[in-house]
Amino acid sequence: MNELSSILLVEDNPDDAELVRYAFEKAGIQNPLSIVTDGDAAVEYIGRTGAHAHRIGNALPELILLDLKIPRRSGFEVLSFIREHNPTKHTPVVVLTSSDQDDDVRRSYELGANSFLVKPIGRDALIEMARTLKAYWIKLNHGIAL
Amino acid sequence: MSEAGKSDRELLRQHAILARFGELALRSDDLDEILTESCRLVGEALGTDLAKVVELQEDGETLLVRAGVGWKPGVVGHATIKAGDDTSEGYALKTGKPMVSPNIDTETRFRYPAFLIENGAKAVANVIIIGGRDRPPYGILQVDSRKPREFSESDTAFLTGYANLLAATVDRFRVIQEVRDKEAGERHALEIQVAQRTAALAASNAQLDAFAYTVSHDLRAPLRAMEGFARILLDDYAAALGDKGGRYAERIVAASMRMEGLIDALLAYSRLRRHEPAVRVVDPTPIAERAAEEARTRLGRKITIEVAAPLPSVMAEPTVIEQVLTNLISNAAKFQQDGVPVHITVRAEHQADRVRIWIEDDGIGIASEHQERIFNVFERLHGDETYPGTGIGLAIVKEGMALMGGSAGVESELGRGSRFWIDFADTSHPTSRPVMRGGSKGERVV
Repeated sequence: MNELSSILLVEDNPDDAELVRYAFEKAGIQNPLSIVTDGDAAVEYIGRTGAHAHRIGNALPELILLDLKIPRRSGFEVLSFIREHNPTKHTPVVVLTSSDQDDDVRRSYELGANSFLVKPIGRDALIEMARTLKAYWIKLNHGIAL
Repeated sequence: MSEAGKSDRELLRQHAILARFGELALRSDDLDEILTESCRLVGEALGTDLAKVVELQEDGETLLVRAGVGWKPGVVGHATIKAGDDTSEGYALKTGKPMVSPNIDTETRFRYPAFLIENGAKAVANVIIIGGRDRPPYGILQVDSRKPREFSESDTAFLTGYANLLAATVDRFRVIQEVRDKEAGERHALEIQVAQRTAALAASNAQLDAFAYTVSHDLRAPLRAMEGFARILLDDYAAALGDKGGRYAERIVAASMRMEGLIDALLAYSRLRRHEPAVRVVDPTPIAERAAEEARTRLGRKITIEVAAPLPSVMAEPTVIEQVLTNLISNAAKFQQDGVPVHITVRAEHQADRVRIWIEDDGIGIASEHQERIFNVFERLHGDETYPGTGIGLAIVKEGMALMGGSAGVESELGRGSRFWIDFADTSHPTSRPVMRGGSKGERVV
C-alpha cells in the first residue's frame, strides 16, 4: 500500500465519518478516502455492482475500515463478502466499531478481519489512532497490490 | 374327591416345581423369562405338551399369547383370542374357575381358536391368573395336551396354586413398573422445568446483551460527535469562539466526559449482573492495597488509608471483589469535608462462618433515612458540583456481593463518618455458597 492507494470507510454515522475524515487529515493521511454508508453499498462498491458497476478510474481499496452495526447488511456480512470475493480476499480489513463485545471481536476475527479497533472517544485519541493506522497499514505493512 | 391313583411321586414332583418357581420368581427380574419358564414347569408337572400364558389386554376382551412352550412359531407374542362366552378362556375369566376340556373334538360348550387346533391340542385346562387388588385379571394360565386326557382335581388345584403365585409375581412387576413410570414422569417433568428455566435465562441474558450493545454502541455515538466536534472547535476555531465561546465548548467536552463515565459504569453494572461468578478462595489484601494506592494517587491531598494486613481469605471472584473494594475505598476517600485530613481504615473480622470486611471513614456520613437507597442504581445524594459521580458504584457493590453469595451494608451517622461492611463466606465453608440473586426491597433493576 502506498499514498496513492485508496481507502474505503464503511460508516453509516455521518458524525463519525466526518471525524474520521478530520482525523485522517490531521494525521497527514493523503490517500483517497471513499465512504459508503450501508452494507449493500459496501458490497456493491467492493464487487463493482449496482451503483458501482461502471465505476472507472477508482481502483479497489487497499485498506477497508468497517463499522459492524450498519443498515441493510451487517458489517459481518460485508466482511464475509470481502473474503469470498476474489479480488479482495486478502485486502486488510480493520473493524472500526463502538462495540467491544467479546462476541463481536471473536466473530470478526473468525470471518477474517485483520484488526479490531474500538472507536475512541475524544478528538486527540482519534487522531492518535489515525496516526497509528497510517504508520502501520499504510507505511509499514506489505499487502498484495491490486 | 379322591386322590386315589395320584402317586406320592407325582405330588412330590409338583411340590418340587412350586419350589423351583419360588426360586425363579425371587431370582429373575425378567417377567418374560418367568412366564416362559412357568409354562415349561407346569407342563413338566402335569405331563402336557403345550402350555401358555395369555394376557388380558386393555380392552378387557382380547387375550394375547404372552408366553408359551411347545408352540409353532407365530403364536407366542402374536396370537390373540377373543374372550367371549363361547371360549373356555372367556368362561374361565368370567367365572374365575378352572375350565377343563378333556377332548376338544367332542367339546360342545366352547369354540377353540384355530392356532390351538393347528398346534394339535386335544385336551385343555385353563386357570385364571388374578390381578392385583381392585384390578382386572391378568390373564389365563393354560396347559394343553396333544392327546385327549383328564385333568384331576389335584391337577387343577396345583395349576390354580401355581397361577396364584404367578399372579403375585406379575403384580409385583406391575407395581415396580408403575413406580418406574412415575419416577420417569417426574424426571421428565423436572427436565422440562429445567429446560424452560434455562430458556428463560438465556432469553433474559439475550435481552441484557442487546441492552449492553445499545448502550455501548448507540449511546456512545452521539457522545463521540459532541466531544469530537467541541474539541475541534476549541483547537481549530479558538479565535472565532472567543473566551466565552471557548468556555462553553469546554463545558460540552466536560459533560461528554461525564457521560462517558456513566456509560462505562452502567456497562460494568450490566455485565456484572449477567454472569454468576465462579467463586473461589481469594486473598483480598493485595486488592485492597491496590485500591488504596489508587485513591491516594487520585486525591492529591492529605489522606491516610490503613489496610489492616493481612486480611483473611474469602470466597469471592477476583474481578468482582476488586470492583467492590475499589468502589468502597474510593467512595470513602471522596465523601470528605474540605480541608479535614482524611482517615480510612480497611479491616476484617470473623463472624460465625462469615468474614466481614469493614471500610470505615471519618467523612461526612449518611443520614439514616438515606442509608438503604444509596445502594440503588443512579441514587445520588449530592450534586455534581460537590461530589461528582455516576450513582452506580454502590449498586455494583451490592449486586456484586449478592452474586458472590455475600452481602453489603452500612452503619453511619450524618457528620460522623461511615462504616461500610461486606460479608463473605469464609474459606472453611467452600460449599455453603447461597447465591442470592435479585436483592432487597426498593432495589431498582437495570
